[in-house]
Amino acid sequence: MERSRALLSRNRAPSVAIVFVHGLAGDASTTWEAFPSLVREMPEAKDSDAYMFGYPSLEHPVEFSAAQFSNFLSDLLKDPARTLINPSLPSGADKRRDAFRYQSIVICAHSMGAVVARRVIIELDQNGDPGEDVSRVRMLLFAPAHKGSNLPLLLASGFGLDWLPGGALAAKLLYLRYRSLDDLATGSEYLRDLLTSSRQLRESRIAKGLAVDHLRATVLHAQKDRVVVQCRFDDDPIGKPIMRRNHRSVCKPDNYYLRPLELLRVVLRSLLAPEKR
Amino acid sequence: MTRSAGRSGKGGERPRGSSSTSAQDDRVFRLAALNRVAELHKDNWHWPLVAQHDDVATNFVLAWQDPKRFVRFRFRFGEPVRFFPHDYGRGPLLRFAAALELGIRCGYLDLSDWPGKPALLSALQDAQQSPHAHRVLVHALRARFEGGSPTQTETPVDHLALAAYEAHLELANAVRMDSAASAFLAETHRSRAWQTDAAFLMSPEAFSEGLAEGRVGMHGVDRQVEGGLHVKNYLTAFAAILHRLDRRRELQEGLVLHADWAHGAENIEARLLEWEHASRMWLPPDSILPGTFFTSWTNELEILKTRQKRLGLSGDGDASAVDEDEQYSEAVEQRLSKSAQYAYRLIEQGRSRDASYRLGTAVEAAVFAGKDPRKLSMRALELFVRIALRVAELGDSSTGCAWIATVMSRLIESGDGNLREEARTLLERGRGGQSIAQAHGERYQDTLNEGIEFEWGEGLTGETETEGSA
Repeated sequence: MERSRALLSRNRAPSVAIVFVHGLAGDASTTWEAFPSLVREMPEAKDSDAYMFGYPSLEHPVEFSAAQFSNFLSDLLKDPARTLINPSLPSGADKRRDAFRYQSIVICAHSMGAVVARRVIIELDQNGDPGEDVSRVRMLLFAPAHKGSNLPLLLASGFGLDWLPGGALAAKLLYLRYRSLDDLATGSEYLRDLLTSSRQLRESRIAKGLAVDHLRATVLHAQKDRVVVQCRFDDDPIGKPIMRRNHRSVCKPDNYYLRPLELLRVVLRSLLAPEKR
Repeated sequence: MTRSAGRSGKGGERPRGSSSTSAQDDRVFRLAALNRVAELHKDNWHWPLVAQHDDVATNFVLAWQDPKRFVRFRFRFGEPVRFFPHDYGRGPLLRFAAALELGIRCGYLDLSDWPGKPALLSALQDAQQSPHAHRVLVHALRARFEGGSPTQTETPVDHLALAAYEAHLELANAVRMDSAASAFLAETHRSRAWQTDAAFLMSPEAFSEGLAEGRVGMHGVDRQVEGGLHVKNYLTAFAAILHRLDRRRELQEGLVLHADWAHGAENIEARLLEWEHASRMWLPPDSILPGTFFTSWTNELEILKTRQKRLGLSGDGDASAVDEDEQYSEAVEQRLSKSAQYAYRLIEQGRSRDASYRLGTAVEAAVFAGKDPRKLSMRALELFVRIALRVAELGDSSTGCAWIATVMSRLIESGDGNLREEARTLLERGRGGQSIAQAHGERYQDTLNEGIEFEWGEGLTGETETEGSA
């Protein structure tokens, strides 16, 4: 996973892993801009590691990307020290204990990354090992494409064509070359199946008296986003509206746009002090 | 999988678990931070270093100090060819040394116990011949080593600076690994003709093919399209890093010096502006035009362009001695002139809406980019006013009035009498809600056309070819 990055805590046993999953044509470094740096300064993130997961989002269908992320998340849940953390540390640094496990994992996903994350959580819940207790996961989704998207606009946004007056024309033609992305179109079979699976899983867990928080995401929608359909997915809480941001910029906090950090802070607080909820 | 990034700066910035952190671990992470900087500066593609030490940074430096120890072989047409690190010039070493100085200033690096210092000092003996961009920082690092200055930050670590340096490294790495971006940058700075562009700018089909395939038909375009889009994003990210350092101007300038991939940002902007205008031509003349994304982007870049001008890195020579206002004025004049000439041709083709847009973007980008238009030279000011009048004539009187209002006081002080009168009349009519045509009738149109045609036709003939290529 050469495209991925980790920001590891000097604390030997951080309780939370924050995982960033980029969207179409994004990458682990530039999609999030200052987000990981800003997370480091959050007191609530003091006991957490951050991972910027990278995957080839253009070359393969969504299911293939989901399979890659599934391997990563499975390792992170079951055996993070041996599979991810210790190999990433510089030689000579103290290693984490093999038995180390995260108490919680927060997935921050953008656009197509939200579809990938949802698919993997459902899959691991239904078919994962007992060690992959996926109920420890929470989702914070930025402009998610889980209810479908306008594919030419998604491509235009992913490639950064939206500043060209004729960019939409070029994106329409570009779409003909990337038909593997049909899964992300509004009303696609893949997304219908994702919604059905999520709903059935949630209802089945409720019937068994199990928690379903990992299936319900906190969602941010940008005011100027014309790329994705901004409808609620299954039983998600109503989305948080973000003014003066578009599909690309909604996941990039800066000195003046701190809403993503505020929402991440809320999620982390709820994980660190669950008894107060 | 991953690079263990960050959290590895000097001792002052480790709020986490410091009580449980051993001194040995501190040393390891200090070295890891240093090695990370070295990794980003050595060029594995061409120079496969064999580790002599765990310390990548020391290896890197030793290669320059004693190249014979580091002779490597590379294979060309099946035959091994000897080569030395020096074959590639001293660029990577100087860039690395500059990054070290910047890392110390930002609190990311602590070189107090790094054994490679003498070797680096020795390798930098003739650094005064280094390129301008790195000379300043390299000189500061040498002075630090030779004068016994601290090789770690003395003051409490500024977390903003630390984060900015990390982000800068990450961005530099992304650019370095991006061969499409490299191809685009090389072509951008090679000349101002950008001859590859005409092939993929001729239609949206060609553009999408160039982007997806790296060629248009049988004609290769060397991933220029993909590279241009990437570089635009990288520049945006770099400008965001600089904005986060608004209160640390010296660090801003350090980052600008070190980010040699972003030098000459005005060239990049000019090339992408040509793309923007070309893609406008793909649309029917009467289409509803999308927003002015490009203008807002050029405004975002203003901080980078301003710093580069101050440091003489904007691609037009060393400007450090030139008065900033004068430089601003010249740049505006040049930009407005080119746009005015281009817009005139668009009007001739019946594309008055495109002409108005072109003039609008030029004015917004050149004049209102964080500067005070009242500081323009009189020639630039007059050109600016003529363009405002022209935009009003083309139908957007509120915009024309708004622009003129910003400079009216200056125009009254010292402007050309006729022009002042025209501007004043426009303002008065604009305030009264009458259209320009109603206000001025034929006399006004004739005067305006004559004035502008003279300015555009006579003074700017040298620019025709460049503009024509769009």
